[in-house]
Amino acid sequence: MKKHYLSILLSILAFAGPTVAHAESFKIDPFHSAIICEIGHFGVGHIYGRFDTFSGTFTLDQNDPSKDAVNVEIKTDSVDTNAPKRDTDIKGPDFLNAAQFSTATFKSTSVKKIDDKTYDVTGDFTLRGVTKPLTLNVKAVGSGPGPKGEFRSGWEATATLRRSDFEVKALLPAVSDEVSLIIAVEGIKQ
Amino acid sequence: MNQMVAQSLQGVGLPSLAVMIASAVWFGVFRKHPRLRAIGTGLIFAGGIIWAYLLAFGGFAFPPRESGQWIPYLAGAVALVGCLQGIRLGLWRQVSNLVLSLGTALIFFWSEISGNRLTLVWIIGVTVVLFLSTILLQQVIEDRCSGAELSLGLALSAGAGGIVSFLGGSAVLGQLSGSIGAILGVIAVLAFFFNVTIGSVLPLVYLFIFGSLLLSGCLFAELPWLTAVLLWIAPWGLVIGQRLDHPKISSRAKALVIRMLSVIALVAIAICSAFLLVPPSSEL
Repeated sequence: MKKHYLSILLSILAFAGPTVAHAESFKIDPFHSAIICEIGHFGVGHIYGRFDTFSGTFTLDQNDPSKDAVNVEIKTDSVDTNAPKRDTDIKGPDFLNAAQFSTATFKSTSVKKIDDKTYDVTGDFTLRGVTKPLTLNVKAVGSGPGPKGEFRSGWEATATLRRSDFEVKALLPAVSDEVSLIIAVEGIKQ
Repeated sequence: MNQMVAQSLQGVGLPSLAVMIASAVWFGVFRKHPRLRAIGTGLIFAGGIIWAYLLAFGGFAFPPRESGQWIPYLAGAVALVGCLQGIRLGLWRQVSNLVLSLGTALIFFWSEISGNRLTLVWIIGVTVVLFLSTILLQQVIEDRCSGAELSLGLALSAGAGGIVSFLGGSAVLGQLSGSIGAILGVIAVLAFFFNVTIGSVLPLVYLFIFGSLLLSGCLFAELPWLTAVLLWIAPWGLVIGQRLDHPKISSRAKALVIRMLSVIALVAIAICSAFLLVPPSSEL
């Protein structure tokens, strides 16, 4: 009899196993997410800005992080540095050239687990028509039910890129070559 | 701010200095060979633009992906076509001007051409404006103006283009346009002292490169169309200036200033319009 119960339990576990391990897809909730950029100004300070319009998805596989994936699309004309004239300049041909290149995108190509809460996500970042590899240092913030009962997963990523790699070379070195990014997202499980 | 000013001065000064030395040698050697002088002046001017582009944009992009990245290649191509025009005149000149005009329009609108009728209207419009401008500038002004008058008229327009492009939110376009103004300025001084004409290659290069800069400023930055149009037509003020000539004015310098009056007036109106339509800001 004991053997019989054990075989039933094993059958249930075998059935349940794949449902726990399958990859989960999340859609970025723009209302609870932010993409912030920081750039050096004449070597004396930092200017912070944010991109107000973006979208994206990410896929999580608890058992196999190599199957995780991240896709983000940022509208370049949504940059906001709290100075309208400067925003116009940044959207212009010297920097983002938003009229010709309306989006910047990141598409992950590999995910490396550092520890339980930290990952290195490497992918192709495309800015102003130039695609270069970029590694995001990603940290898990938390996960659980949201206000409407939906399941949410929160992450924060940081990265540093050189704008000259993307042929954005105006006002170098007065406006620094290095640009830091903070991408803080909440995803809603689909 | 000193760093930026030094960088801009370097970007404007170095190509101008190089063009001044090369042009002085060329004018001196080929003073009595107008065709060779025209070819050399056009090539030196195009070379100066390419160097100024390198200093302003920080490098060349190949293959070019956006309209601004075509500028150095366009300068080289137009200069070579201009040189060939010096050898074969007549219908070839107009056909090659039309091809260059269409090519420049396509640089700006090729990526948006699929199924967009408005884009086709833009392409045709820009092609027609550039083509008619080549005829007017090459034939009308070139035939009536001295080298100093023509290059100074173009220098004023391009130099003002630098100011208004900067106001319009593009330091890079502003620096390049300012460099072209400075380069033309030194050519004007040399043409005045050597008392020579500059031929048709230089105006052709000017038309396509300055036209591209104004179009970039209007389409991708905040350069007002009114300002761009005023700067575009400003060099034709030379024709009006010639009508102001008086037989009693014997001094070449005085005649030059009088002929420039209409150009200066148009350029001044253009700069004022830019200040009114795009007030300056120091938010960068």
